[in-house]
Amino acid sequence: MSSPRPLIHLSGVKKVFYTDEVETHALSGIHLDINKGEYVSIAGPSGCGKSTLLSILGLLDTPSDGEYVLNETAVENLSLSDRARIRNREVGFIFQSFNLIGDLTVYENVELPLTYRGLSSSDRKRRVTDALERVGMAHRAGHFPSQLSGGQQQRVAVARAVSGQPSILLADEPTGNLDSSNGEAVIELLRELHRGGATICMVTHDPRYAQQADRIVHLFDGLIVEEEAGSNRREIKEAKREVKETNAGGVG
Amino acid sequence: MRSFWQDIRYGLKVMRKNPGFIAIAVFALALGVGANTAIFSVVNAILLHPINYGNPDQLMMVWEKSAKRGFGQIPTSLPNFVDLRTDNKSLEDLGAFADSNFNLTGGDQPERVIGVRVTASLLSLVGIKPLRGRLFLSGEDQPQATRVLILSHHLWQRSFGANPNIVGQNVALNGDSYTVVGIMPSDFKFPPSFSATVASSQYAMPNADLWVPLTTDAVPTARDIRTLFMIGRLKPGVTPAAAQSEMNVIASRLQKEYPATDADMQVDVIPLRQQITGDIHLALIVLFGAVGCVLLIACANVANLLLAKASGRQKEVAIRTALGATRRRIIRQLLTEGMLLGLAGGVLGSLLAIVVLRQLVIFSPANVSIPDNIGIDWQVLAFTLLLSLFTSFIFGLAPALQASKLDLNETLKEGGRGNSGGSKQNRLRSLLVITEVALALVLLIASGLMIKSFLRLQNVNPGFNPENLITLEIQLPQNKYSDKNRQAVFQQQLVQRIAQVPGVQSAGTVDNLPFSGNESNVGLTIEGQPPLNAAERPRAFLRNVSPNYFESMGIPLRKGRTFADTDNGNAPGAAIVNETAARRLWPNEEPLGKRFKRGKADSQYPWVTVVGVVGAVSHTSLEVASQPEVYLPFQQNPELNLTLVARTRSDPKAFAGAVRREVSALDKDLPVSNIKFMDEIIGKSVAQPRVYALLLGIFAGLALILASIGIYGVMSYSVTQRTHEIGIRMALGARPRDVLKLIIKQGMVLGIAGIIIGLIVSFALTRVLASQLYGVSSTDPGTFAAISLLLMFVAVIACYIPALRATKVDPMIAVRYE
Ligand SMILES: Nc1ncnc2c1ncn2[C@@H]1O[C@H](COP(=O)(O)OP(=O)(O)OP(=O)(O)O)[C@@H](O)[C@H]1O
Ligand SMILES: [Mg+2]
Repeated sequence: MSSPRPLIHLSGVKKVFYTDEVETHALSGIHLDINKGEYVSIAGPSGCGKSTLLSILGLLDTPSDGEYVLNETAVENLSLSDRARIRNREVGFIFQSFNLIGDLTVYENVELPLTYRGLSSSDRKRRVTDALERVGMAHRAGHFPSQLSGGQQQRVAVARAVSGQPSILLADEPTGNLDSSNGEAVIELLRELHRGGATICMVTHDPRYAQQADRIVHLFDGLIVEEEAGSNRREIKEAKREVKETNAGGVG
Repeated sequence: MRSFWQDIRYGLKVMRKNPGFIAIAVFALALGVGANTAIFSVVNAILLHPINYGNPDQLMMVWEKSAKRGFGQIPTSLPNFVDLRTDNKSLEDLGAFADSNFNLTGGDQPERVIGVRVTASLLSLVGIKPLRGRLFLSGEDQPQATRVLILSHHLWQRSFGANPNIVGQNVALNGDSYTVVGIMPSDFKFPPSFSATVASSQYAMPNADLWVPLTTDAVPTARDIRTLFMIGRLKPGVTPAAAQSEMNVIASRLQKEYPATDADMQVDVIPLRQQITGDIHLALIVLFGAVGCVLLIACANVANLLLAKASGRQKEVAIRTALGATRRRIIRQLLTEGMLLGLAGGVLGSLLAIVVLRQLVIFSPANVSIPDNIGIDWQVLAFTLLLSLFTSFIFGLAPALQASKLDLNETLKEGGRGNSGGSKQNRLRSLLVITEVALALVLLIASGLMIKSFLRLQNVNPGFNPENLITLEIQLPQNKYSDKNRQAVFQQQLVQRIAQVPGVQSAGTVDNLPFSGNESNVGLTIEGQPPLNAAERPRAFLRNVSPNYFESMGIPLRKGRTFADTDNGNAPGAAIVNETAARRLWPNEEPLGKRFKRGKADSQYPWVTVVGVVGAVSHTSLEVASQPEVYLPFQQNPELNLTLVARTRSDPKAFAGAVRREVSALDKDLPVSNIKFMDEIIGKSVAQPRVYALLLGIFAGLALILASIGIYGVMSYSVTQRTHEIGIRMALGARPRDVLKLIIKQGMVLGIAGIIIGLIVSFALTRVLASQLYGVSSTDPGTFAAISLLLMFVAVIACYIPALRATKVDPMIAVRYE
């Protein structure tokens, strides 16, 4: 059920950093399409360009070369303001270090992206409550981040990322600062969101978590070296086959 | 010792690494220390050190007063003085003095000088030795004694070429020969500078050029003509209160003994110091307050910057502790840095003080005599320096104190969670900035009110046109002009000659020129009204003028006519009254044709008929509402005293030569140096409010600069501190203008909090200013609103630069930050 045009289309995307006369080729020509509803994980050794790729996907950074079409809009050469607007509507970020704002309550943190959109406060309230309920943190709305455990904080961060109903969720090692049980809980949360129709692109070191995705993109030295189907895809495929088989069996 | 140098070297390194921070802190300190010291030194020199007499606290001003007539402080008459002097036992001695203008010949050229007649023992009473020669001897104030005088230092220098042999030689005063017996030192000033409200007009003590003994034949001897000021010295152990109650007893005795003249006489004993500081007291308090405010703001600024720095250095302190530095060592290091900062600010501030002081002396308004030998007040400098060092020390210690409380685990945990925040530490800094803004607002409002009041004052219509008026005060010498006829002829010829000078539109004379400080206030008897005693008679200010005086001055005629040449000795007595007098003397009646006379009904003065009504004139100062005035024609009342006023068609300065020539042509012995221009005289009369407004304005400007530095510093630091948070917000879709708004809003919360507090404080405090304000309420809403807006605007500007920097934050740091 893939849409005719991919949600994200990268072609020949390069990123070069210039620091003190040293050129770092973080990305050296990335071709990548992500379809609506797809769950993609990006894997690769440290320094291979995963975070750089995610930043470009999230419009935090601009490619040095190549084209990027997000939701049928070319976004390489937009103004700061336009990029901020698209980032706000189309992208939800989940960071390794949670990045909640310590002075704001859980509720206010989740509300934050909505405030940059000019929604009415009742609208915002509905969406924030929705998002918090989805991650199971509604009862902590009035707390401050410092009063929460790491796992709870990351769940709030997920709620913040989804509250604006973005086209794509970008997660950079969302489990990196969590112990394994909390990490698994967050991965489970992402999988639930994916089942609900969310498009997700997640960077992770952990092969077990990478396997959760439909597709695993392996990055090495700024290039995509391999793409494989994740266990999720295989599971679905297997499930479909099972359905077919039972159907066939049923019929046959 | 070696480690001390190490500390210094390390401190210098830290300073070099943060040039912006150091520059701001040092600048704030230097402004606080420097400007305050300079201005305060001036205020101190002008206002605080005027008494250099021996044991000044024993010196008392003694006044008559009349509660019944509402006169607070009035001079006394010769007979009353003699009674007070001989009857009291509280005072070692009581002296009297009166100022008087003289024509001095015998110096380089004839000139008009201010002399003060003093009782023979008065100068020794104040306890100052002469520079050369001697003071007056007892008996030299007897009428038949040889005439002697003592020169002031400045007159000796100016007119006698500082010739030391002048002592013992003769000079002529008003044509009479006087022997110079002494010269006073340069810092001697008598009478001391104070002003008093005499019969509802302000009377300022003149700066005397010379002193002569007060002889009984030189002053009026009637008990009801009060022209003498009194200063006495308390006997050791006698309190002012004791002296006061003794004077009360004497006064009530005089009341009974001389009911005709002293019926309502009372005596007031006021310590000289209080008399002098009396009217500048309030101004001083306000200026002290302003100085204190600026200094506080400067210190708050430095404290703020150091606190900001402190939180940035927590990590460094923690690392140094981990590397084995003892707490004492770290505190010493931080103190050294604070000291370096304080010293840098102090040195720069002292330099600034010297420069500012020089500029103040150069650019001081001509009519404010800032002594040119004025120096830095070292006590003030030391005080401000110590305060700023103290501030740097205390707040320089902050990182050490914070470090000792630092829980390493906690810090790591917080850092690990990667959340932004930590607003608790910011609270003190915010509080400091709010205080700065509030203080600045109070100062700005105070100076705003003063400036507005000053502008109002400048726009007051004095009742005449001060433009293009040249004036010359003339005192005809008694020996040459004793004949009334000669006086009248001189006046007539003078006016005729001046009027014929090409470019002169009109010329006239008056005895007491407005704003000259000369004034005569007389009681009147109105024909057809029941006779009243001296205390109850209506009073008016008397002017003796030539026919063209009104035209020359531009005083409008409201009714009837002005004087004509025919109003001379052969014609019936004529008078012109001003509107105020017409209303008071003949309420709801037609004043023209009414008759009145000076003094009681059977006084020696003639009855005069009102022939005209003219507009009222501000005579003593622009602040004083118009008083009742009556004008008499000079030709019917010739006298020795007259001031020429001439209206010129162009710049009156160009006519000084011609006026001098014409006067000298009439009488070559008359001094002609004292030419003045009316617009300058009026300018001088508002010199004090102007200086006051100027000083407050400078302080307020400093406060504004410092407060905006404070806001800028805190916001700038806050942006640095919030970089990560801003990055997160941008990652979540905040546009540059959202970020701009975020930061400016944060700054404005501080600004508005400060403004609200400042407004409340101002409402409470500006009442103190009320008596210094003219035509402006001390809670003038316009000023309050305008100043608040100004401060708000400055606050926005101060926030804008850091806010702009915030919009440049790279949202990537949200991803990269660990
Ligand atoms: N702002 C920058 N300036 C210069 N070089 C940069 C910058 N950002 C990233 N790089 C370089 O680009 C390369 C890719 O970095 P990136 O952060 O994308 O790696 P990564 O795959 O996310 O690594 P990790 O798994 O350690 O997070 C690295 O060599 C890094 O040093
Ligand atoms: Mg990375």
